[in-house]
Amino acid sequence: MPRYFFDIMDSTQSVPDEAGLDCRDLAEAYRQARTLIADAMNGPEATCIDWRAWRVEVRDETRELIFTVPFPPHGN
Amino acid sequence: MSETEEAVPAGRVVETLETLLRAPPFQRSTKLARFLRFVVEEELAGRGATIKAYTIATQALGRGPDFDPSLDPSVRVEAGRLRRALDDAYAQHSRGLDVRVTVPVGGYRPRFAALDAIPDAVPATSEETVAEPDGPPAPVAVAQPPRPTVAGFSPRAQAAVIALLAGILLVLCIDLGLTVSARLAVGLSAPRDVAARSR
Repeated sequence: MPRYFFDIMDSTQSVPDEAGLDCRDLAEAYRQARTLIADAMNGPEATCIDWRAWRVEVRDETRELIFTVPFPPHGN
Repeated sequence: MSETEEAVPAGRVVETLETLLRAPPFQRSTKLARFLRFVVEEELAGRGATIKAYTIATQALGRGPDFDPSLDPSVRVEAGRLRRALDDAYAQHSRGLDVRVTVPVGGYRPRFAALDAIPDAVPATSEETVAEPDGPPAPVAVAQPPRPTVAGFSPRAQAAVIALLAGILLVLCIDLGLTVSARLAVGLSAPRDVAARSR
């Protein structure tokens, strides 16, 4: 299975993906990106983070950008 | 395999932790490996309640004391990746993993559940057998054909009725035998009378 990397960032901060995930196809990579977004937005502590500025950049094994998934304005 | 909710001995958790850390997702990411080791060891040490984004960031991820979890989602993001990495490890590299480690969404404290090697199968009844997937063929239960029964009579009652009928038949046979023998005796004696009269 191809491996995809899910870098999460806004205009000033970046949380690069070191491990990546093996996904069957782009559809599964998209689902994984959405799951990571939901996990990030549902943490235990209160935040002042403006999620609209954040996005997931999905990259292939050569680190080439495949597609981008923006965070929704509110929690899922 | 199925999970059991009983308390898992710390030794088994530590063995599982070391096995997990050798799995490819944790070999590829030192951040995820440190994150996992930190939360598991803190939980085992009885400090699970103090596992927060700040302690993870400063003690496991190398962030400075100015880390602010209300502005920086790094720990949340890495927690999501940790959950995916754990799922991947148990799905693809489950050899030697007899304790399921999870980090439920909405927190960072790990949970442990023993994984029993008992297949999730429907329990066999007394007349059914479940074949082992790799074992020798299981004995085949031979179904007993249903016994013919008379509606309303138990087997014991049926035996009593048969015995009664047999007794009646025996009495009839004896009576018939006595009658026949009496007739024969009469038949044999009559010609003598006739002969005596004719003389």
